[in-house]
Amino acid sequence: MRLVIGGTAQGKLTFAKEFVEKSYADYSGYRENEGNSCRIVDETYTKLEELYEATIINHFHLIVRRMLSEKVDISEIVEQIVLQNPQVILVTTEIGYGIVPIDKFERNYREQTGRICCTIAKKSQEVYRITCGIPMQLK
Amino acid sequence: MMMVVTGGSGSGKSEYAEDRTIQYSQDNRIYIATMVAFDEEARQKINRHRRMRREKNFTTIECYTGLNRLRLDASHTVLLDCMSNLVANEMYQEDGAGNHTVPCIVEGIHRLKQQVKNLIIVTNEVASDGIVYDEETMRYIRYLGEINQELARMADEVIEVVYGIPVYCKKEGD
Repeated sequence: MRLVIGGTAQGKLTFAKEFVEKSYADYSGYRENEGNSCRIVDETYTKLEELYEATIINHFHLIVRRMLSEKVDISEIVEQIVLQNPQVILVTTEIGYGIVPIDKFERNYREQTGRICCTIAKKSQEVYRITCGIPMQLK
Repeated sequence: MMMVVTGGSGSGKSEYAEDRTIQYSQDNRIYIATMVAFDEEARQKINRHRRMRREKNFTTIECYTGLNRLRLDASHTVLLDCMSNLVANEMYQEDGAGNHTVPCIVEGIHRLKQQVKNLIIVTNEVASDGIVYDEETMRYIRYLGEINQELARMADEVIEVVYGIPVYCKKEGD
């Protein structure tokens, strides 16, 4: 698993797509059965299984947000992603750099997204932070 | 030695700071707790941090305001968690420093640094959500920012923790 983080509109998804393309070029035959398609799944998913089959999971913070409002056990889902989809690139916006929100849901969303991303960072073989389109490898 | 550990909400900065504090000292670990238990959520947060510190052999000192009144000595390794609470306390508690929050806290940290062996301070990045808040909140953001700058000048090491990963902003010898 790889984690790509950064602020909004910093070029995180572009970086992730380029990373996937490069992987295909480097390992010919990689995922050849799947026709080398880059499947991007975001918070608009219809079934949880899509997360286990995605090449890139985008807007992960908004997926956490959706799961919190739908009261889905996120840590269980993350475990399944790690187990079933170890090649995935997970893209998320860093949302913890502001004033603690007054609204309880917003506060919990921000805190939980941080905690879950700590777990994911630990399980990822690489972590990149993108600023102005420029990647910095943190791990 | 003085270290500043910063990061966003839920970044794992407290856990990182505790681990580093333990590396620095086998005994005489002091934890300066700054969070006022004003409601159930705050109590839960305090309990979570207490669980993390259990068996890590810390003596806890509660200090909500008036950091410069603390008297410690050169045998102590001190972890202060966290500056964002302390600033809010000084600004809004009845016995707080109010308009003098910045010089008051900076002086307190100066004194603490002179007294103890190691000082590790956890602070917070609160200034990057781009929202224009009311005047009071903007003042809070400004005060914490000014204090963070001053702490970084004083510190030997400044580390931003990003989802549990330390990113060095200032290293010993820089």
